[in-house]
Amino acid sequence: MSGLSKLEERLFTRYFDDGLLDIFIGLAIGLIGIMWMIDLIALGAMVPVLLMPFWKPARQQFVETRVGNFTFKSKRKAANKSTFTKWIIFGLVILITEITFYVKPGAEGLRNSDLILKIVPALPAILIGILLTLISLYLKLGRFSFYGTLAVIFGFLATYDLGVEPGHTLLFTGVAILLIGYIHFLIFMRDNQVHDANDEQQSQSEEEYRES
Amino acid sequence: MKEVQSILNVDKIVHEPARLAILALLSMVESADFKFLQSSLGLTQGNLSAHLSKLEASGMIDVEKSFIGKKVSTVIKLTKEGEQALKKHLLIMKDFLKLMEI
Repeated sequence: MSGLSKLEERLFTRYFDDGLLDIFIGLAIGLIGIMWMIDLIALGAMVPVLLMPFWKPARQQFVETRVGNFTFKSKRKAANKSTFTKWIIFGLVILITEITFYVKPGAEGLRNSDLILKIVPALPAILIGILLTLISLYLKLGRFSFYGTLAVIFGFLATYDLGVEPGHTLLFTGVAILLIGYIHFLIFMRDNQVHDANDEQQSQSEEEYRES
Repeated sequence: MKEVQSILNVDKIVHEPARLAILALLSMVESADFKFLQSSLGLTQGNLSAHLSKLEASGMIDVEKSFIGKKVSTVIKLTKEGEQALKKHLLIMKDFLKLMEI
């Protein structure tokens, strides 16, 4: 992929494998679900944008104090940019397809068919499931495929007459991701402790290094 | 056996395992901090400092220090010389391993 080596790809995967991304994604999906349940769908769409500014400070506070930091090479940054552009195009194609389907004259019969009416409540969770699977493939983090599968399963619950609505399916998915992510994050914190004494030692050894 | 002799030409600064690992990691990133290298390689602070010192003295890495609050922040980058030395070393090793049929 993009001429990037295996070691670089492993570094890239490791960068997102501490559980923090899971927590943010779980929180975002859960909040979108809550907004949907209280009929504030438009505000729900803003949730990821509102959460984004917290990503860097949270990473600096909890991750970088434990495992340090590095910056990716421009080749990786270009690969990321290209992938996100493709995802946005993919999202727009889906959006345009859906809008066309809903406004196209003569498609009323198909729109009102039992199958479509049954599947519609599951669509938000299915789309989230697809997005999570794409994240899994790109980051090479298998558990995101599991999250994607969970989203689709919760989505299909909404197609049965169980009183489950799209907002609920997103909330269930978000809470599941948040819990699994939190456990993953706790394991990461346990395995990578911050040692204050070592910080002092590091300052000393770096001081010695500087003097040498 | 000139082919075997080629292994004697490896740069000893690069060939040392910890330094080779440091250079390999740095070749994958734009820059990295001290803690990242330490946590990735599992080296002690003193050990890592000593290796970085040797690599810096041989011009293979650039080390920038700054203060974030009261703490020292050390950012390390691979130089062009370091990149070339690593590439050369890997080619020699590749040829040697080919010779050994590994």
